[in-house]
Amino acid sequence: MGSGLGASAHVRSTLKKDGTWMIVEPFAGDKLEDNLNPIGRAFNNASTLLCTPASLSREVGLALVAQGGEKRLREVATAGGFSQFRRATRTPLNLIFEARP
Amino acid sequence: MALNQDKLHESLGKAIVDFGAAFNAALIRIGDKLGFYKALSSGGPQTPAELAKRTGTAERYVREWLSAQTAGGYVTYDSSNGKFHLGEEQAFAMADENSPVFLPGAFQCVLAAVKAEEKLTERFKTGEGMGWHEHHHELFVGTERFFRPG
Repeated sequence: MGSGLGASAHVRSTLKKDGTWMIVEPFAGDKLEDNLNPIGRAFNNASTLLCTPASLSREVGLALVAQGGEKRLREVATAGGFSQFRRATRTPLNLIFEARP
Repeated sequence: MALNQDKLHESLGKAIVDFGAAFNAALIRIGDKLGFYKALSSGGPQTPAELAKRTGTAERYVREWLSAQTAGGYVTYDSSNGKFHLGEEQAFAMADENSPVFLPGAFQCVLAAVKAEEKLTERFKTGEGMGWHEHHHELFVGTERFFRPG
């Protein structure tokens, strides 16, 4: 969990050619000003106290944080070896992405 | 310096909500652990004494808890008969572990974060991380319960 890139590459290595990786992430826009609302606040709070320190405790220490947004998550999936990435659906709290090899 | 009274009151109003909400994380966990939400949900309208008896807890504490939860909008009170109950939506969010919006697990995570505050303050100064495994176990259970419904 501390390394999104490591997780991405690991999932890619264990996936069949026609497999799909479904990713559930806290609802977040790409920019700070997109996240200044109750949900953004809740996840930013949790991110400051839980997610960011956890990431910084690992060797990679990318700290993508809970408010990563679609753009950064796409980069992580692509860097892990996935060629297709799209937002599949959303809930009030989460974004659900679909990544394919 | 001339303070804008309206802006000041707006800020104070927000802070009062936060002040109450911050305590509520512990109150929700207590109600979750002791089965208050589930007993209210399954038992229908009841007095503090009835809820205390049903859950094997002390009436004086239960009465106070019910008042706090009602003020926060988590429990409904009927002043005509002095009984408390959960509305269908309140029960759906607080008493049903399989509901897609089951909330008590989220507040376990809040409690874990509060427990870690002293360590985290130090990490802000040093820049060191704090590993997932270094947290109180409440965080692991809370995360599991919070994300389980999706």
